[in-house]
Amino acid sequence: MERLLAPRFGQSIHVQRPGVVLGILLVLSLVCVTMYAREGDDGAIHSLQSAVSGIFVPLKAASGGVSAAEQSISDRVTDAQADPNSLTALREQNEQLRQRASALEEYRLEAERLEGLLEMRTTYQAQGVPARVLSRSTDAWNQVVTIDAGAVEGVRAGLPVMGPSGLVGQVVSTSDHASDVRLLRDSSSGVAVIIQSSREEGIVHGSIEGLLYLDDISDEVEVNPGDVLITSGLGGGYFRGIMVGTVLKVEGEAGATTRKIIVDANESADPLEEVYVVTSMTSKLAEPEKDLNDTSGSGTAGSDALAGYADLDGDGVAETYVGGETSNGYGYDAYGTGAY
Amino acid sequence: MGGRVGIAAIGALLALVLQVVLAPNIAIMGTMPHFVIAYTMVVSLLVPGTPAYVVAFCLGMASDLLGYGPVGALPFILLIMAFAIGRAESAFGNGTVFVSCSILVVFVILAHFLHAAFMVAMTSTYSASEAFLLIAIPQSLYDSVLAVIMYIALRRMFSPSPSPGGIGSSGLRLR
Repeated sequence: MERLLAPRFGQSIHVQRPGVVLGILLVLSLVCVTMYAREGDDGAIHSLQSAVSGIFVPLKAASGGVSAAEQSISDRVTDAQADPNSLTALREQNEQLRQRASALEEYRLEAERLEGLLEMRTTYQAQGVPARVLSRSTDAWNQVVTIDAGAVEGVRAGLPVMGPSGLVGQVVSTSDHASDVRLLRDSSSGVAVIIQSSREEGIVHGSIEGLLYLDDISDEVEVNPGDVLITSGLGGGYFRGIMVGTVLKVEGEAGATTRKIIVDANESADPLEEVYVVTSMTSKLAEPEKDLNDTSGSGTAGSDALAGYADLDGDGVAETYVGGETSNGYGYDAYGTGAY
Repeated sequence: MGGRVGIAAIGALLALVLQVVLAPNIAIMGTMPHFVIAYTMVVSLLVPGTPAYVVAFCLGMASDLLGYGPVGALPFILLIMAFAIGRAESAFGNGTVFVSCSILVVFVILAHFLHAAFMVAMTSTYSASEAFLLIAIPQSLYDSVLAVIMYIALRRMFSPSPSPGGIGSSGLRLR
């Protein structure tokens, strides 16, 4: 291995100059970090990151297999514990029936999930690509899943991804036949939403503990558990009208600046297995809502509030976030248009 | 020496595969083991010097490229830790498993804390308290256990083969 690094110096570097190797590698690492921080999403290191992610798709798929095997073993252990006196003459037959029943149950659940996706697709009149979840992220810092549809199937970065009950995330990178989807509960995710009942706008963002929070909503607005949140379409990253979740808990009263609104995510109830990447929506819901307070007839409700949110550098100029491009300097993309 | 380097390289590949295939499936309450960090620390303790640096750089870079964090951060941290753990072992190590494991645990925890600090500093996505409380501390505890198991399992494989006719034992010394 050391020969690869120092072919001309051979053993002498290995034995006498490990410090030189250390220095070179440290400098290389720092160069990479600096380049990564300075370049945009289309930069060389970001592209390399996407490419490597694509290369590792078969391994990630194996991870999904391990997960399934783990589930199967867990089921068997549970079964064994539940029925410890099953050493009878019918044990073998019983086992076969159990396996068949398990397989049928699996098909039934899958059919149920697919039916949900189909229903959702019909409701939203959404066109897109159905996909299966291959694997989950390999580190604790990201909530990203890999799906088995990529550029060849028509998936591209920035498209919203829906589960059986609504929005679950957004495509962040694609390879030929796989894509990475950043889930809403990732701390760098964010989506502009409206509360369906009051039409008030806000931002739902993920967090490191995996919860969704509704922020940037006026302190005076009454928010109650059970309120439904849908995408507002602002920012261009998501189509309008997709269900994001429901308000689960409100900590603090209306008017309090420290109020915390926790949102129940669509994909929190079940592990995500099948998703639908939305390429277009023809539903009336997807059309922008006319701003009732906007006398000029342009803009959408609450757009000023959102512009104010984006003006974080205090220069009085709202950073723009149009067509999937953001420059809000907030660290995460508050409008759900992709990775920071 | 060549044999130890070969084992270290094979182990590095295995650690990477385990990180991709196994780690997401053995998360405990959202805490995922980091085979890459644990293995690098173990190798740095057993084969200090250039092999450890190369393993630290390659594994760190691969791990960063597989994720979505700043590329180069993990190799940088692992290199510093690989250097420091080698120095600590030569300063405090007395050949006993207990002392080596203690050094290992300290540096695994340090590596996770440094990584968390890097993530907080490089991306404004995470707050410091969340990053340390919800990721760095649980993950460092998980990895400490993992690293100690790895160390005990790999210690014999990495120990230099005894010279012919030499006296000595490569068995474990607990104190």
